[in-house]
Amino acid sequence: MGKNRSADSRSLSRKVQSAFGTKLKAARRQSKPKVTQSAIAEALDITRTSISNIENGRHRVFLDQVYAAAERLRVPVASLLPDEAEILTNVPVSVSPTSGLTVSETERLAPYVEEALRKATMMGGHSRQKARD
Amino acid sequence: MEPRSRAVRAARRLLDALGKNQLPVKIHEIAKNYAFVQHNNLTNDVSGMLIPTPPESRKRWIIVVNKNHSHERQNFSMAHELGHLVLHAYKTPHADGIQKIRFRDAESSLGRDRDEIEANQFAAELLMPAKLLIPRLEQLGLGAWDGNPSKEVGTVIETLAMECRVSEQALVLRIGNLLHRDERY
Repeated sequence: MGKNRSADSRSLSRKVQSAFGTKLKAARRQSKPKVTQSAIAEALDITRTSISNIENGRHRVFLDQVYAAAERLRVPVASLLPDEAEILTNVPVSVSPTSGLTVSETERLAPYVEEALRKATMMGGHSRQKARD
Repeated sequence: MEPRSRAVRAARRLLDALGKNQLPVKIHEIAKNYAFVQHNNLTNDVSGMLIPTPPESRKRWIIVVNKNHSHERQNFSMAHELGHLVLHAYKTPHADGIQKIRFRDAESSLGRDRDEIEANQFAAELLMPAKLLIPRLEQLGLGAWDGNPSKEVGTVIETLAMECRVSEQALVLRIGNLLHRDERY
């Protein structure tokens, strides 16, 4: 993993790691009988500390480890993968067919989506007061 | 009687859970429990949007309504987007434009079109709940309307639309749908 990665690539990596870690931890907590960090570690042939680091978004994982974790947890692989909307900024905007908007207009709508997300980030930093009108 | 439409059922459950039994139903107060609510500058043909937020956000959703539209329309748009949130939980941003009124046909029972009908049913029941609207219609003398257009009808519609904080068009559509057998309950 090179040291000359761009800021964008590092940010994407962090997002994916953190989102995957959250999913993994949630899946583990929901598992019945409960699958421990040690059990996952064994399945992935790494240490329990590494699992802890993965769950906290500090470690990157390899694709085969995602499959091994899914198998051990008996959940679909896809259920451990973060949704693209969580990760990517340029996701398509769906429009209702009765709306008079067409799919090709999603590009036109993208700035509005970005504005809303930007505002929400600001709102998220404040108390609920800000969301009130 | 349990309503057949899952959208109507969802709206009623929400109203009951929040103990709302008075007009107007304050949609902003309800929506902000589920989403960041924003009144933004959108182009005129877009009435509202529902946007999922990044995972680190305090709330999972953003509801945007077009601040250039009338307050009544913004209320309906907000309720419509809340309907999408509750019923469809899209994983990518969703935009709604000016709703074309159309009759139900084979096409409209498919896919996203069905979603739009559900979001509208949800919004209508949320802002104009049958259990509050029907008694008010009766009080105002529209319970057994003989079908003759009169000045009074116009006044009643105007009054009631103001009470519900919706447009008169939305109210008229709602009353029409309530009289229609399958949406009454």
